Amino acid sequence: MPYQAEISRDNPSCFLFLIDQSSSMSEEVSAGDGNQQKASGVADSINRWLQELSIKCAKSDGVRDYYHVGVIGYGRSVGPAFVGSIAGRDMVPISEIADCPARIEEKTSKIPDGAGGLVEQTAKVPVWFEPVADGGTPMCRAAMEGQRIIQDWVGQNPAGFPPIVIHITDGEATDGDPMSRMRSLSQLASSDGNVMLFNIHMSANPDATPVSFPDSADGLPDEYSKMLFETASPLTPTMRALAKEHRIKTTDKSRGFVLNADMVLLAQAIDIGTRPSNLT
Amino acid sequence: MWICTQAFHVPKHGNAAEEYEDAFFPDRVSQRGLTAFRCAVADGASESAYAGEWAQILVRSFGRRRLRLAQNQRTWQRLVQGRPVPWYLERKLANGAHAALAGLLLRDRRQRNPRRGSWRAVAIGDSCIFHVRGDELLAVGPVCRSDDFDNNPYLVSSKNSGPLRRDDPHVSIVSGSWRLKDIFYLTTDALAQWILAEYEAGRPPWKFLRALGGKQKSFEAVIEDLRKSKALRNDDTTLIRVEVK
Repeated sequence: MPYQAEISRDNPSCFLFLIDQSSSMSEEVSAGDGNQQKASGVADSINRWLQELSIKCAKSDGVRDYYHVGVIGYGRSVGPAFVGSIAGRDMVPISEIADCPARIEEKTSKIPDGAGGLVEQTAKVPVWFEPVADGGTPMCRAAMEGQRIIQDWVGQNPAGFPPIVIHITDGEATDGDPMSRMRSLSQLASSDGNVMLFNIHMSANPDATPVSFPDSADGLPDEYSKMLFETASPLTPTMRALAKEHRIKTTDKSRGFVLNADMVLLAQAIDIGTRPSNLT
Repeated sequence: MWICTQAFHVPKHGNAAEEYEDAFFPDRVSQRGLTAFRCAVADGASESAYAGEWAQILVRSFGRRRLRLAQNQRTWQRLVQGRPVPWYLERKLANGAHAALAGLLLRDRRQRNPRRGSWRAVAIGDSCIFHVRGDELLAVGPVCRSDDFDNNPYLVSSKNSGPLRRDDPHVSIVSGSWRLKDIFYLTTDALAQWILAEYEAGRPPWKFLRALGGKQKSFEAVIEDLRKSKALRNDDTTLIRVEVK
């Protein structure tokens, strides 16, 4: 049975984000309580996710390295997208990530005080990844870079829980057909199973309607959406159970593909993609 | 009442001894003439910080007198506050620590019957108590089937205020009577699940558990074998055996 490996400090797993940073990522998209630039929304989602993962792995004596995480951006160039002291590194243990945010912002929000009023609450928000929207969409090169990083990682961790790759894009590749590159990436495997590839398509196509974890390419608006559906990995039973928690319907043929994600759906998709693991 | 107990414990494979986050109380007892005896195991949740300390506070509180949750929570708060912590621990500590708890109280009733007494078990979460007479399982709880363990049991929080109430649906209170030579086992979830699975498969492990004697090393070896064969989940593992002699 695949996807059963226990995740521990001796046998960690990893997450790799491939983030489209092309100029069209400056367009706006719904963010629940207003609109937000796609690039800013993606950066917020990833920073929040890194914060939650750091807290999840924290114990009284520090953060335990159950996971390594990489964030690769592609736009004007292709490469590691962390900022701060971990800039330039493609796969970083979660303890170092937790200890090295580029900065910690303080954000205030109003929450119910339990007596019918509102009270201001200040939360610390660490930042590791900044929004960028500049250049073309070299998706083929990004997939090749992802393949190289995952291949190295699996070579060092051959029995690990399979790497999970979350690919977020809004557009069309400008450097060729990425189909075979994406397939090669998702066919990499540890002894516990294949890499899980999630494709999240923030499409600009006016015909695109939001779709979450479909089980066929029927109705997808263009060849890019279809390619991203075809290359996404099938959902595991655990992922399907998590989708149900988020009130998203799936079938046993559903794939890790989301079309026209707003920021709420983007956060849900990242949660569904990254939570299923035997962290004990 | 003559009570003999022995506790056994093994940290999760891959973790250091100081990373063990279960707790038990007491370690070992052989005492005659008792009119009451209390013992407990607790299982600190792995996603909490200072969960082992919280589990320790709970078993000592239950074992020495009775559970005083508000006081226990203040003890935990004093332990964790006042030290500078990195950003990721701030929110973790604000969420508190969590633990499962199973406690057992035995009472002598010699004035009524010299060979019998009463017991009461209190449990929150998935640490379990088994009452065994000879080869017969008389009572088990709060989880009664090996399939009923999951990753989200209700746990005792170091943050919620207010005392535990008897009518709280998450608090399981069961009582019964014991006879001389009865044995009680208190275990944290991984071993409780294995015991129940063996029992359901027609292989009750009572002889094996009795045969452990007082040897912690034997227990460690058995647990290692069970983990290797995947019969036992890799988790902190704790057992208290209580014999009424």
